[in-house]
Amino acid sequence: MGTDRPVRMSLQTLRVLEAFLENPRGEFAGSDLQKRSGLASGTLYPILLRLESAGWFLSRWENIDPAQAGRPRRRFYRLTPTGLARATEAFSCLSFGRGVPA
Amino acid sequence: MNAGWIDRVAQGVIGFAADHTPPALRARLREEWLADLPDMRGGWARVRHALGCCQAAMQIGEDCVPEGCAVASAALGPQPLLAIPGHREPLFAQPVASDAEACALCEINTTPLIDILLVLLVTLIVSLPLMTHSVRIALPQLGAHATAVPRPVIDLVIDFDGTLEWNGTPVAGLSQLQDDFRAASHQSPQPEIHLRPNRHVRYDTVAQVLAAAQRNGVRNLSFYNMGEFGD
Repeated sequence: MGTDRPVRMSLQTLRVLEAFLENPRGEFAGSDLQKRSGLASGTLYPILLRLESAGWFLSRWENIDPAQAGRPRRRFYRLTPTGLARATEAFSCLSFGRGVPA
Repeated sequence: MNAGWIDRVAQGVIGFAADHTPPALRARLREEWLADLPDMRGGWARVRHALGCCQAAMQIGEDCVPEGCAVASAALGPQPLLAIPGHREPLFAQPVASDAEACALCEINTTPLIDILLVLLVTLIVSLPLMTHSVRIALPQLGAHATAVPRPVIDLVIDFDGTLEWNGTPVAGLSQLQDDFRAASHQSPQPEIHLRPNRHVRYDTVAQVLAAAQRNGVRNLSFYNMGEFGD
C-alpha cells in the first residue's frame, strides 16, 4: 500500500480515525474498532479497506498459529505516519470550524 | 437461544459474504471477519456482525475498480473510483465549493437501517415456523350418542267460559282433568303440557287448573298463547 490516495471523509470515517487517534501507536482488530467507534461491521470494514488502500493504515496478521490457537488469526490495523498526519489535519479542520459536519 | 446454533449460522453468513468479495480479498476477509466473530458478545451481536459483513461485502464490491480491488491492486497503481483526478485537495474525494465545506462529507448512515431490516427479516424467518406449528393432541371421543327423543306435547285449552280441551278432546270436569294430569305425570318422559287459556276466562279457573297440575305431579307446564294478553 503506502500510496497517498484521496479519502472520502465521512462522519463514520472520522469516528474510525478518532478511535485510532486515542492511541496513535496502537494496533486494533476490527472487533476492537467496532467497540471504540460504535460502528457496525457493515460500515467499518469498507472504511478500513479504503484507508488502507489510501496508505493511511497498515495491517498485519496476528502472530499466532491458528491450528494451535484454535481460532483464526485476527487482522490488526495501525496508523501510518501519513495516516496520522492526514487524520490530525482532518480533525484540525474541524476544530477550526472550517467544515463542521451537520 | 442455542449459542452453537447461532455461531454456525453466523459463520455461514460470513462465509457467504466473503464469497461475494473480490477474489483478491476473499481469503483475507473471510479469516478476518471470522476471527472478529468471537469478540462479539451475545448471539444477536454475532448475527448482526455477520449480516454487517454481508453489507460490507457489497460495499467493498462497489469500491473496487474494474481491474481489481483498490486495496488488492494498490501496488499496481490503478486509479480507484474514490479519487477525483485534478482535485487540489487530495484528502477529500468530493468536489467542494469552498474550504469551509472541504473537511467533511456529510451523508446519511444507512447501515443501522439495513441492519434493522436484515435482523427483522431473520426474525421473521425464524418465527414463521413457530407460528404455523401445530400440536397434535388426541382428544377423547364421545362414547355415547345423545338420544334425541321428542317429548310428547299435550295442548290444554281453557275456553272463555271455562270449558277444557285436552288435546282437542273436551274434558268433563276438574276431576277428569286431575285424572289426565295424573296419567300424564306417570309417563316417561313426562309430556309437556301447553296451557292455552282464553283471554276472557276467569283467573279462578286457570288457577284451579294450575293447582290441579301441581297436585298431580306435572312438572312441565307452560303458557303458550301469551301473545293475546299483550295489549
